[in-house]
Amino acid sequence: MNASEIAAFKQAVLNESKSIRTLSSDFVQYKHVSFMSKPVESSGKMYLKSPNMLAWRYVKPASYSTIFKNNKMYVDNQGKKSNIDLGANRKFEQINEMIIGSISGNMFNSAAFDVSYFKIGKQQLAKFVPKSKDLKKYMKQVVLYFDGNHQVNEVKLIEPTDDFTRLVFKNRVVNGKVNDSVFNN
Amino acid sequence: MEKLTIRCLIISGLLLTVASCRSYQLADVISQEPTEREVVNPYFSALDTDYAYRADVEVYGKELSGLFMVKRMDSVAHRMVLTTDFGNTLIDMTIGNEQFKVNYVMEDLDRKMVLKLLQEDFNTLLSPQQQAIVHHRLVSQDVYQVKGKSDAYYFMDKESGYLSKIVKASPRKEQVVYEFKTSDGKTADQIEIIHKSIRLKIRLTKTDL
Repeated sequence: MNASEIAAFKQAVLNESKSIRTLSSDFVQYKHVSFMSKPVESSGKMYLKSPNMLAWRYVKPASYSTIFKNNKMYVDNQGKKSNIDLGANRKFEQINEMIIGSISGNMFNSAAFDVSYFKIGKQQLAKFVPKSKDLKKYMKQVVLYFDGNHQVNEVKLIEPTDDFTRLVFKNRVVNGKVNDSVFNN
Repeated sequence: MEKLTIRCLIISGLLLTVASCRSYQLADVISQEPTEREVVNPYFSALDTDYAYRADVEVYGKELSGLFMVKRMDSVAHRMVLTTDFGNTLIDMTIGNEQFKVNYVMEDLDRKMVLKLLQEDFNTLLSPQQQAIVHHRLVSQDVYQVKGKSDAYYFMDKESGYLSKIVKASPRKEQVVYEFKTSDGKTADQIEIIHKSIRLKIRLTKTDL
């Protein structure tokens, strides 16, 4: 994208995200490891409530959930519950910040990343490369893919080894009713 | 949580040196005799086959869950990866009797004691065959003893012939128990790795690819 396309794209994402109060979506997570011939698949449902409540409820391969609320991460692993300091999973914390950021429109202004923008056919994408040495140990690059409505429909997290995780979102519902109970652990 | 886990593992490793007074003995042995039999662990032995498991780790009351992926790369080595639920790689190792290489390890886990513990645990789990020296006959199981730094006892069910358990033990006590649940003797549907000297349990549940 050239400079004017980037400006227009950022503005469009910001306009789109301003109106979002809730979001729910099915997701499929594909873990790609270099020596495995196929990715390992997990799936479930994601719920987001502006400004900062986020729930990942996995259904396959097992029932477990991770909820981000009040700067804590709550885990329910098949009935075994725990809560964890957010700093414990820094990489995913960054992903969540970015997904939440994509709603607030602030993600492109993150000081932690160098951001570049691309257009492939109708698909627009933004690549985030961490600036700090500390973050680079965990994450090589994060790519956000946007659909025609300027909403994130895929996240790709590339690790220092080039193994990567893809999160693909489907059946998105914007501003539907999302009960607070989905954020309870 | 990983940091806490590391601390626990390091402390636990130190506790390993505290010996128990109880000696390790198989119960209800009918007879025992020398053998030259090669014992086979079939559960990760197929070449170029993807194996994927959900992993639940309990260490000193703390829980960590994720994915365990492994493949036998050639006749001498396996490659394995342990990740969090979100797919973040915790450790990526190449492991075999004659080799051990850490391809990647998350900084918080990069401790000699932790790597040694993981190497030993997974080397025993993945090793496809071993040379037994003693055959112990029990009522319902044949147990083959393999000599090593810690001896390993392979429990084969007499009726089915399936490998159901491996016990690693020093002359004085049980150290690690590996329990396998299988319906066909070729695939392990569930595996539990239970440490006896430290509070560490790893449960692996097969997941479809």
